Amino acid sequence: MIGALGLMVGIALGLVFDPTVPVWMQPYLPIAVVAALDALFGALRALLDGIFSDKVFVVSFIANVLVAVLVVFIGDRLGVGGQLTTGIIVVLSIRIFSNVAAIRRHLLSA
Amino acid sequence: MQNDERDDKPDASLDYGAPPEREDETLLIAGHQFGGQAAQDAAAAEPEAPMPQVPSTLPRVEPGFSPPPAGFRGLITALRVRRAAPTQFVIAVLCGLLGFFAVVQLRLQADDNNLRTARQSDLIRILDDLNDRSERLDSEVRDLEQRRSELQSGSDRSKAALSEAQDRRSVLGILAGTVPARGPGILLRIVDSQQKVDAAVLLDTLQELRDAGAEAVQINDVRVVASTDFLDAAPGSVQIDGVVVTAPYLFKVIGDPDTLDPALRIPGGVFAVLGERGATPTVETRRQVTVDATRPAADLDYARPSETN
Repeated sequence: MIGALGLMVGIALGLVFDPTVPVWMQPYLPIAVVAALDALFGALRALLDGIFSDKVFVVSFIANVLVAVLVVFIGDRLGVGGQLTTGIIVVLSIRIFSNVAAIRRHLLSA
Repeated sequence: MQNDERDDKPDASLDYGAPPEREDETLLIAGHQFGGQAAQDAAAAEPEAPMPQVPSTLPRVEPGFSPPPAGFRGLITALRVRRAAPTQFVIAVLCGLLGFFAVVQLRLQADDNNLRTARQSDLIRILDDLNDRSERLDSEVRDLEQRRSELQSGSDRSKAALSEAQDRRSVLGILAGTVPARGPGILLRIVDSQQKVDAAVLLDTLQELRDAGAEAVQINDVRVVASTDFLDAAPGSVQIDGVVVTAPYLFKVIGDPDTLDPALRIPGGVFAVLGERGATPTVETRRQVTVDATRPAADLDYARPSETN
């Protein structure tokens, strides 16, 4: 509940302030957002499985974002940033899909 | 979907599931029981109780705990406000950050174009593409301009040739007698009262007029051209180009009147001969004489234009 509240507050803040993103941050922002989304869906699934843990969620959220951004950053330094971005997006998308499938089974029993 | 079944295996559950012996977990499960104080006390009363290590997705069999509610009920229970732990605030902050940056990213993408977010290598490739394209378009522009100038000069040339050809056609048409003509000239009327004017006299008259620069000549209704022939017919008439022309004869002549008129009057000339034959010639000088009789263009059977002049 408090998480959903925070999400809404964050969206509202983003809409209100409409900040400009610094240039160095622009390639990593979408990756970070997708990684965080993955963590969020994983948390939702764990919640429905009844195994949700605040600590695990916080740690996995931060770790997900940091690792994703770090991998892309290293890829950029190595000259394969675009390919690594694609790879990370693919991996995170697969995880999101499987998590959503589990959530769907919980909620819809189908 | 068959593939989905794989997700139900315990080891496939992702890293957000905590082992069930955690204290947080027991609190959560206590929360599932509608947050009753007694239930929380019960959970707190035996925090050290050994928990069976069961796979997270299997139903719990611990005494005192009901299995975690699944489906919508579980979601609703999870959304219920529980006690505000510090970690809850962290979760809220993280979710807030996610929402914030998701919105920022969406705004960024919705911006004019995504060149700002493109990588350097991508930008270089895009720039190369644009350069190539601009070069191609430049060369196309040059080609088209060259073609345009070619077409223009070609059309200028053909226009000049056309107007020249039209001029020549009208000149040749006047000479061949296929088109009407008009211009300054004279009207020569010969009244043959004694019917002694024959073809030879008319031909002499015509030759005199031609010598004086006559350009187009018509006798009564017959156009006179280079190949015109005169034949004697019944007295008082002459056959010109197969057409019988009877006196009086009217010559419509286009040419310089100041040359034509004196040419007819020279001593021993046309007027003298006509006078000997008892005919009366009269000359009228006109600023505008219309030669309106025409003859059909001759179809040539053998002669063809030669390529060389």
